[in-house]
Amino acid sequence: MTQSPVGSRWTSRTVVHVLLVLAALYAVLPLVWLVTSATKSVGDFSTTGAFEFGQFNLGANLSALFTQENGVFLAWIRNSLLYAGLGAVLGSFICAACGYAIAKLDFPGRRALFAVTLAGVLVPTTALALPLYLLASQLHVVGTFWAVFVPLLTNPFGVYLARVYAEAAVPGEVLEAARTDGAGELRTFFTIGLPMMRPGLVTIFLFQFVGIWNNFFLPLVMLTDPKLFPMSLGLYQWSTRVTQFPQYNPLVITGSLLAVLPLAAAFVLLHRQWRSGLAAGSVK
Amino acid sequence: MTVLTPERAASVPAPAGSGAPARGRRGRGRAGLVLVAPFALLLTATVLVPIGYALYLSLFTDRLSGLGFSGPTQAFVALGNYAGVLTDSAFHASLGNVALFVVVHIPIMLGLALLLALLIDSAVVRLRRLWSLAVFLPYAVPTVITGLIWAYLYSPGSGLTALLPIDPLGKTGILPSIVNIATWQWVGYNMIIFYTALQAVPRDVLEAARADGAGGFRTAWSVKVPMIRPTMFVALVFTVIGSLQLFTEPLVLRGFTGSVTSTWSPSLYVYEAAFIANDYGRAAAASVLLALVSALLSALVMRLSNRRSR
Amino acid sequence: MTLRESAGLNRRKFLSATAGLAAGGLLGGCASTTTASGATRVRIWSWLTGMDKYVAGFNAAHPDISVELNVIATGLKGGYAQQTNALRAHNAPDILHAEYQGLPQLLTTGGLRDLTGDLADLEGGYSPAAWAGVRPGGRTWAVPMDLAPMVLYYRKDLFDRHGIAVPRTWDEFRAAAQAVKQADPAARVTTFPLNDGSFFAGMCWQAGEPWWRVDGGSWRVDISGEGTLRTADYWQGMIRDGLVATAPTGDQDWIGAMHTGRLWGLLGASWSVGSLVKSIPQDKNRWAVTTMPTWDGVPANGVQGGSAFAVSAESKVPDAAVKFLRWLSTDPAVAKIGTTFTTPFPGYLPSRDVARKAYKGGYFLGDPVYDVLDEAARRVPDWTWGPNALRIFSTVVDRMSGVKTGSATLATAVRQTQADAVTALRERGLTVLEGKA
Repeated sequence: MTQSPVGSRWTSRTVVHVLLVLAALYAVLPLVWLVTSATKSVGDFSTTGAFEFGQFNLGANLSALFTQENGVFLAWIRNSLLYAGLGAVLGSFICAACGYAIAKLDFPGRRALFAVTLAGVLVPTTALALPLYLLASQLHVVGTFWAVFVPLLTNPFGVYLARVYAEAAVPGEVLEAARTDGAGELRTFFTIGLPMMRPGLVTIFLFQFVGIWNNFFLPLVMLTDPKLFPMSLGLYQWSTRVTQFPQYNPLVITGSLLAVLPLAAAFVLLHRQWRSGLAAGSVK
Repeated sequence: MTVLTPERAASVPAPAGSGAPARGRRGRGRAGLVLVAPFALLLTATVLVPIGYALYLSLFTDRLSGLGFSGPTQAFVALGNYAGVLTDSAFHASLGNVALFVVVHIPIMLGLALLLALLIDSAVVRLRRLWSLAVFLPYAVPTVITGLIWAYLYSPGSGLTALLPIDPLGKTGILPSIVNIATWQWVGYNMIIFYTALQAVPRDVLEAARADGAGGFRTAWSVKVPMIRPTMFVALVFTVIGSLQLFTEPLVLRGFTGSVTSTWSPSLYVYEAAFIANDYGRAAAASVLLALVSALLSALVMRLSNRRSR
Repeated sequence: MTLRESAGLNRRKFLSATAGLAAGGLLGGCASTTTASGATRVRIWSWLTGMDKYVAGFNAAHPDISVELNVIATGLKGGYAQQTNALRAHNAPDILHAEYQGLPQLLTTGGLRDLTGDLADLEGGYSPAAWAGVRPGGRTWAVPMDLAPMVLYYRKDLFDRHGIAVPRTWDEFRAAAQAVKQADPAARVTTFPLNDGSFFAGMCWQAGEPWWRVDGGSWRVDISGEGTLRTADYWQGMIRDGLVATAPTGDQDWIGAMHTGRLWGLLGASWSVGSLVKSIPQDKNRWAVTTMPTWDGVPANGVQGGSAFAVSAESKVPDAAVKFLRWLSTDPAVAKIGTTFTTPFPGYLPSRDVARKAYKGGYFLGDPVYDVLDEAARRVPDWTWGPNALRIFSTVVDRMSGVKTGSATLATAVRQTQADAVTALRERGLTVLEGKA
């Protein structure tokens, strides 16, 4: 047994922490900028430095943000939560059901479905947006909530993950026991399989949530009514007006700050759950 | 996004049921179909049908006549759109930009993610949770917002530009700027993936290395990294696929600088063709080509990972 | 359900989702042409600031028609794309928004209604430039709303203080630019944005050689005509000699420069009045407006923008739509509403009088703003926008991207744009004639 000498242990600890501090600063400073900028007015924003404070204008910025265009920003918050929150809930459940079935049940076309699902992971979403738009036009659902909501429910990678979790977390013996007790397959899924997959489900939910929250191309193409925009699309649209109307700058910045907070909070709060989900997956 | 290897997943035995009664098996079959139906329907409707439609669209083009005010007529051109896209210098430029982006961004971002994961995993670290959360935070920022934040930071007058040797929004600076934005956005996410994979490295292997006299750095490089290589390859595949679709960052920066042309990346090319030039045939052809390149590259990386892992 | 219970947030989301779905369901695909109260429903898409107020005013005064506004992205940032796609997909609204430069592109969808008969009686009431803007190819396709003639804004206080005369020709402008730079090395007489195709087109418009013309039944493209090249060479010289900035108008750099007095002038349009008042309110009583410097004294200036509204050929309520548009374009109430939040410059002359009388001023020195803009509107030479004008704005900006670093000149950009424009139109199956007739 050898022990590293104390001296090198100290230097390695310093080096490690210096690097981590630098990385943390790199990650966090732009967000700090966002916070300080959200407190500035139009004039201060262009004339004061990145980390100085001008006159504290956050209150005015916030009230301007929420009253702009009859409070459309609130609608954007609601829309983002619906597309991403409801979408991820529904989507992860659909993935779980499919993944479980592929892993644990035998049905015709099982292998084909899984192969197509894997292929689906590789298709770039930007390639699908135009044909989806044209199809939605023919069905007269363009510019509706569903035109964005339904395509974003599809999460082939989630199915792949769910299959893996189902295989890892749901032992065959437990299912056999349930079958011999006379339980139907669907009942077994809801009462036994699903609860056992729970950490994995949280992971799928969170990643689908972020994926939908981030998705920009599809809403950009499908939506024209600002009342249906998710936050990122709405803020982008405002940002395109700043050249002609500089007064949109504080709105875009303050709105961006508000767009970042809920997701950051969600990740911090649900930290333990999704970490354990990832860990469970990696061990098995 | 996954910390499992494709090989490991494939080696799990198929579901049991050799001695089960036939009625039970049929019941399982039916239940299986019910459970997969929602996803199968969604996949067909939102992925398969659109791909087919894109293929169909790519075979046609619009023709105007006179002043063009009486509207377009459709003409079947078979592979004409594909030829048009493949000979379009704007498309070449977009491929070039994204190739350069991939070559620069991926090693930097994944390398940094790996380094940070190893650092956080090292024995000497305090406040582990703090560092990992801080670095992970950018992942929680929507891509559009990230683009906007950095666009403002890159603008003259923000103070950041004074510290940089080149104009981040100029012709030469724009690629490193976009690489930086993408790196900032994704390094934390990949770091967590790698870190979680590192947790799965059996402790006894690490103990053995320590007993053999390996220090922290040596253990990290020679023991830990090889053991998470499968995870690294999966991260590589997904990063490549994502990078080929580069759209939001250049689009947001377009509003702040002229260095990003309307066809800077292949996705921007598709967007420009479809929604600005209204040439649906050309846009569909470009989409199909983009999907093909994606698939080829992913297959290549996966083949590479299979060979290396043996 | 286990899944919903596991994350406490979800229950609240579920409840709000039900409410949201109800709202979402209502917004989904309803295509009826009458509202619940029996009024005719007219749907309009627009990005015009203040359109919601105009619509509210109309709806209050006309209970039998209910106009519903959908605010869409600014034209070049997605608005045109959305409208063109909607027209091609046969689910366009009744009224579409098209600036004069975007109208021919919308026309190539074949989806707009010919309004020649509906608007024939209004012919004499508009600025000729506005009326010409809605009649590409000889038929009337849209109703003009406003016009944006280009003018020169300048810091009268600084010009007076340093004895710089107001430039009336481009040669004088160059001298003024040199004087500005001498007076304050950090300042410039103006910025010449290299990211704005409509600005560049507007500046070239002044030379009197249109980039597009209708020749017989085909388009004639002459982007690299003499007048344009002269304009390009002039500004190339100004940029090369460091006499103008190249910051995009309205961006952070520009705002900062304006705030700190580093830009002494602005080559703008009628809507720049609002930009100045809103972004630098503290510069009250420092700026003045005058007509654009000319080429050798020939009075002329271009136009940068101006909105018009078209009716979809598939609209089920064209009469109601036209009624609304006639009101929007000619009713004095519209100008009055406009003056409460902007400085409107209507294309319809009587409405412009209303706006002029309601203008309170108080920001600009020198000649009254509306007098200058009126004169500018009179000086607009003939011009026709081609069906790929919007795309050419992008193209010329792409081609100009090397000018700042010196790897391209404005003249080369112009010539490449000419080639691009001709190729693009031929690719769409059109016969294209090149150069001057």
